[in-house]
Amino acid sequence: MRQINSCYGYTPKNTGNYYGYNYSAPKSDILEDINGFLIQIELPGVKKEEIKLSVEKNILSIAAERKKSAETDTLKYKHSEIAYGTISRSFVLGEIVDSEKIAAEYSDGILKVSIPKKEQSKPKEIIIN
Amino acid sequence: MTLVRFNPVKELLNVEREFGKLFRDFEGRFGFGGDKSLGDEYENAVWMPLTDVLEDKDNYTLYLDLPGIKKDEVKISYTEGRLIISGERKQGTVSGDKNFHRVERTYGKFFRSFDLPQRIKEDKISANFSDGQLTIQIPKADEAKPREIAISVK
Repeated sequence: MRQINSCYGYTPKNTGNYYGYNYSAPKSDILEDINGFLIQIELPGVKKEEIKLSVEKNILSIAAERKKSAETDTLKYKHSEIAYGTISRSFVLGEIVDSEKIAAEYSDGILKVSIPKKEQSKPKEIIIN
Repeated sequence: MTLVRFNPVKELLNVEREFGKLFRDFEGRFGFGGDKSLGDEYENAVWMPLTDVLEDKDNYTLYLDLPGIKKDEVKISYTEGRLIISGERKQGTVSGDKNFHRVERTYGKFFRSFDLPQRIKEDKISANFSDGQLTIQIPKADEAKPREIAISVK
């Protein structure tokens, strides 16, 4: 199967191999509003059960396992760009967030982690008498 | 070990070929010459999904990474031996008081196309979307499947 290799003449690369592991850091967007932070992490092709989210002290860690779609004796790879294996990423949380109230949801290959700020660190309006 | 005849012109020809490629691409982008059959969707695309291609004796299977895209936001079409996957990832409505600290994900239009061998069942191409991964199954035509013919010895 020949493919037109490109929009711009190159094939997209995966994050690559580091230290001998098939390691890749998932792409993430970080947003903030007055109530808290929202991290959106791309985890395509990963089952919800394969994602582990944990908080230790002030570090939020995401670990996931992307399993290679069943390759059998007859079904063979002709071309591979997607990285499989362990995916992990950590984020350092500031003191202003309430790590007890972190919530997460996963849909369409995106993990959304919402991290609310502590009440006392939200901006307050001071009424002038 | 095989002996290879030294050919100084070969390198020069390679350079010529690379330059040729460069200019063909340039011409295509500016609307003269080149392959225009891919159309606007190709011209406007800013990213392309990572793809794995698998094959067995009955099917070609394509896995495309499209995280954050809804099922109805991806367009798959097949014309004259070419399978085209295109669409757009919208950034969504970010209300005024939200700030981005970090944007690593790519937003905007995407495009990818594959030239398929002639011998496939084009009306039997099927697709499935789950967990941000698009799976496209392309069945091979019967005449393209490997056959085994038993020959009896008399």
